[in-house]
Amino acid sequence: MDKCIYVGLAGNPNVGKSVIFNHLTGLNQVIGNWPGKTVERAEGLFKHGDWNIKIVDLPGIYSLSSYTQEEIVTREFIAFEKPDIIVNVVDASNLERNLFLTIQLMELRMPMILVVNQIDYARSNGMDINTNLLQSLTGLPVIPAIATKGVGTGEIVEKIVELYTASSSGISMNSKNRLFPGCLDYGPEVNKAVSEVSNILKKYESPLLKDYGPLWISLKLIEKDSEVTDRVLKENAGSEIISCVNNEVSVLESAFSQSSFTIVSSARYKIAETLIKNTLKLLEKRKSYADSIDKIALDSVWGYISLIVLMMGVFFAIFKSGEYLSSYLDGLFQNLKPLIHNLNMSAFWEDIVWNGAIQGIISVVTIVLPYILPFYILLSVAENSGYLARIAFLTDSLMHKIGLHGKAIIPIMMGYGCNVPAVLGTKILGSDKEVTVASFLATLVPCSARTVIILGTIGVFMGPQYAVLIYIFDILVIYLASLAANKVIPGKSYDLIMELPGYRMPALKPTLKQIWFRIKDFIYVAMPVVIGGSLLLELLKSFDLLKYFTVITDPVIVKWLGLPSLVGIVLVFGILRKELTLIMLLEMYNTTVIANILTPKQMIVFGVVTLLYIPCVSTIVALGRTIGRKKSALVIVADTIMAVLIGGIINLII
Amino acid sequence: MKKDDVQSINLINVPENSSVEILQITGGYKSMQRLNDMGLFPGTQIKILRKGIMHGPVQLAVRNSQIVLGYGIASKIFVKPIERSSSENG
Repeated sequence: MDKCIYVGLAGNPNVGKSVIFNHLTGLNQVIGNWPGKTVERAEGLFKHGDWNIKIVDLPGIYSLSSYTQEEIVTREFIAFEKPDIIVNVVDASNLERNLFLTIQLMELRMPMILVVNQIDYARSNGMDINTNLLQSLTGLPVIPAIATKGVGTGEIVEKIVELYTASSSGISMNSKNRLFPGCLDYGPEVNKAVSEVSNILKKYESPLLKDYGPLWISLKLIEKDSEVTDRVLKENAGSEIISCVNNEVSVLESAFSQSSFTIVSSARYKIAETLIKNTLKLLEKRKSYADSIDKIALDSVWGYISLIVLMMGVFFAIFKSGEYLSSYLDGLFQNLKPLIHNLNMSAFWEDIVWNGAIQGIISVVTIVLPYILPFYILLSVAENSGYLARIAFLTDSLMHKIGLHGKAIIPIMMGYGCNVPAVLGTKILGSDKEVTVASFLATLVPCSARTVIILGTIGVFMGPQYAVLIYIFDILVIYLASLAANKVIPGKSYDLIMELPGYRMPALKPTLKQIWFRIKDFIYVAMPVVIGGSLLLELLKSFDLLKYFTVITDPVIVKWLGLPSLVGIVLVFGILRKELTLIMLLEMYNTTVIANILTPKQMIVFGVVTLLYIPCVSTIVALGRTIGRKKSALVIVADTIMAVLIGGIINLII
Repeated sequence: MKKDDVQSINLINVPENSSVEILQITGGYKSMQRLNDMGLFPGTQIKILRKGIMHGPVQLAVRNSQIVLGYGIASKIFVKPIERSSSENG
């Protein structure tokens, strides 16, 4: 029988956990050089010899306090799913802050491995880390790694097995009986308080001791962690325990004249400082190129200019290369047409096969893929370079006006790729209000599917400058909508606190892999939907069923928006996937030239309506998971009202 | 309380490129907790690298790395200047 080891991968945001996870499991977890990608945990399984290793990639966190959803997720995971081993990944170039979390994980007394990642990047920034010394000081196995190059990942697997065998046979790395392991010395006052609290917990046999261990629970109680305190209060001797805790807390607080939380956190940072002082050697300080780039990228004038120039550059790069690829592929596929016509089928079947299936595939390959491909390449580069965090810096004060802060720009920017990760990514924001507002905004960001529609219609037939205008108009709409949302949605917003990652040259292999997985995902998910939708449409057309539907939609679509009647049908299909609106419209008229169907004015109305109306099914599911059903329904209604209202007004005035 | 100290300056009034030591962090429990988690305490030495325009965020160096604080939360931190002798100490 195969033996199974359950591993949790924990660490600060943006330290390379997902890269390590992908490396070990062969799966594709989203990676990128900005904090907060893994908002839902990802699970993977791999084999090593006789061992089945199940590994969970936990969201990146700075601390085990209960400030964010991610921190609570990690805490619950450790307490209730009881992984056999924790692999704590730390960023070598930012060791001190990373060790702050390591110390808290050590407090849980779990078998743990410390992976010091990006050791090459740290070295090139003049930081030399003595990992052997770190190992003997912490009592944890320490593995230096360069995850993007696969350095150290083999050792991680071997260590997991080794540690598991050792800990399950009772030979533990650090003796479990001592209250304070190895280097954990919080100073005499805190140490004493911890001993008192853990004694009383033991005396009343608090069940929490088993879940989290005495040290962690005692510290959390002293920090006045509301979650842990509430759970203790529900126990039989809860009030006695808490009154003992309160005693200790007041002694501490009067001695330091600070809150107990600050006292404990500060003690943890002191431990981290001591570890750093011994293990980190700062080589001669070179002027880092990040500082030189930031001189421009974060400048109060040049920063904004370069942001706009970059965005425009990205836009035109996507448009031009998409246009070129599209016409090239279209030429290739036109040669296919005679082949089908020579098959001698009845007109009915020829319609179904050609218009339904083949045309669907051709549309995806010649209209959608050419724009999505360069888009994904540029998105991956932007994501991995570290520039997104700079955009957060530049836009922070603007975002405050709509009840958000700069960090919200990151998931919103990701929305240009796909709204689904954008909506899920809003969880990196602190409060419910921020998450709700940002999710709403994310649904209004033109994802790659809608970019295809705008570029493929307005861009190609009216000129790219009109497409740019649509984008700018959309940003205005988003801004105004969020001003309103900020007023309507109750709750408070927090302020920006963000780590500024260094610039990285995106590593070639992981980036290519990331692009490939996104494209693959698109082909696997979108193709069947597009082909299925096309077939269904052909059938409806053959049996002449469409007219019953358009009767209902005509008042809005034809009278108010001034669009052809059949647009009503494609908008319904578009809820499955937004590309379908364009693809199906073309199919219904048996053409690949949108200018034969829509006038320029209609293209603009069509573009704006598809941009703003009901989000696609996948986004709706993501919304439901992020902000709940009721709020999701409101977002959908708001999106639809805006689409119809704005579309109609444009129809009236131009 | 040290807030009344003659030397106490609000972080947002500190000029760019100057090194300071945190004296006090005011404001609610949550913001205190978040700043603490990022390694900012009374006594911590930091360097202000850049300030954004129009009440933009503050970019600062602390503990060998860089973080960005929004204007609002930065204004809750009071600091005093330090002599440029023993920096790189935390």
